[in-house]
Amino acid sequence: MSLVIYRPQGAFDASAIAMTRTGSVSSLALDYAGASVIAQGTGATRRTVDGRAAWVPVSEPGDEARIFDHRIALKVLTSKVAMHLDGAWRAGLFRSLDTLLDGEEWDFSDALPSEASFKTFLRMIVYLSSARRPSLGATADGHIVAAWTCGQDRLTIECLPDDSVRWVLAKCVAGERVSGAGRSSTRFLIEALRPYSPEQWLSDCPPTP
Amino acid sequence: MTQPYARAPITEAVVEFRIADPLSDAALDVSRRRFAKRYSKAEQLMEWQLNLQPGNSQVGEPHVSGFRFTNGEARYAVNTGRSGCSLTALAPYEGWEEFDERLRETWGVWAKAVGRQKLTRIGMRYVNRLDIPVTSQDEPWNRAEYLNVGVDIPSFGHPLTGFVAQSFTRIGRERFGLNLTASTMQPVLLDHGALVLDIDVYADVDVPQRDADIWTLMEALRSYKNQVFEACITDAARELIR
Repeated sequence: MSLVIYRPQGAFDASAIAMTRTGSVSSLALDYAGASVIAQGTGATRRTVDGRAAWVPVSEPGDEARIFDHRIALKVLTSKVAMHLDGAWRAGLFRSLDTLLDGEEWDFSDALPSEASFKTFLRMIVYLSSARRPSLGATADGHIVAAWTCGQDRLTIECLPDDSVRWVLAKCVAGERVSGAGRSSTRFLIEALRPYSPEQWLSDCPPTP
Repeated sequence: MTQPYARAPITEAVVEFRIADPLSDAALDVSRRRFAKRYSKAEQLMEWQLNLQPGNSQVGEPHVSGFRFTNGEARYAVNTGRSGCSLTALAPYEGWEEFDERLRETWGVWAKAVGRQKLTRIGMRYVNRLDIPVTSQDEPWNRAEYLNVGVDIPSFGHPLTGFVAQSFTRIGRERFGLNLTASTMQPVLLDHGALVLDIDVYADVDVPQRDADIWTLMEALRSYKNQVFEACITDAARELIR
């Protein structure tokens, strides 16, 4: 949660109060004399009064703690759709997240995958009913990348915020290498991929001999 | 008994133990240390008060109101605070047996950490979300097809696009309280609508204090919670989660 209270011009001596990180307002009272807010927050909480940082009561987490917290946050997001995921599928997804967001391997100059991008990924996965689990990656600017391979054929989807996706694929058709790319909303993804028979990646890929 | 529905719509199951007198700093700290050993992620819960008045705005010093612990798979979370302790299970809900086992462990750890405390309320809250398939986000759907609880308003020529219905009553020969909330929410899935059924059953009168009585109460709360759930959903809803 992020709470920002702005005063009407000239009325209050605190021009803006902002709380960052997670939290919730547990009570709020407003009257002619002003406002009273009781707020709760977790983790590192930063308060800014009149544009000056006033205090940081809990130290900012280090890189290791930050990536660990992020991993948990993405798993909590997954719980929102968990009833639509097969148990083994979900367990595999969590293993992929653990590998992707490994503090020892992660390049901390890259943005962590955003929750908005991961939400697009989850909604896409349920929408596609993909029986096969993609491998996971991330772009430097914090987008989740899902990739399915079937033999030499590969489908890669970059999940952008707000149910928007960018995709690129390469497959062999009658001995010829064909590639395609596009951008669409998740809702139109199947239509966009239909000429390339996407079911080979999502469900039907025969096991490698 | 295993979970009766293959796709249980429970997004959150919470059991809370509330106590009469706020915990001391020392007791809160002991509970923090005990749970920190068992859970992967620990967060400090801060509370602060802001008073905004013309010419005299004050921001109170923050104080620690409790701690939240989450396990590595983000399936369970424990909150321990000055007013008590709670266990939360997130989806996928794997059934009462698993939750009960974790609950007994949580109670055991907390009770040992903070010593004997007078319980004033024991609550069991299950938040359910029904995902209603629609062919397009704008397609109207009828709440009454899935839930027996909601609001009815006169027709103004357009279908109801959202509602919140809240009721408070006593059940179990008035031994228990029931807070029931039904509402629409922003859909979580594409091409779905979403209905929330939030069932909060609690004991706040003659609250048991001995372990054996607490677990007997827990079974009763669970039984009432299940009865309320079944009474509130329709066969069409059952089909969605079967």
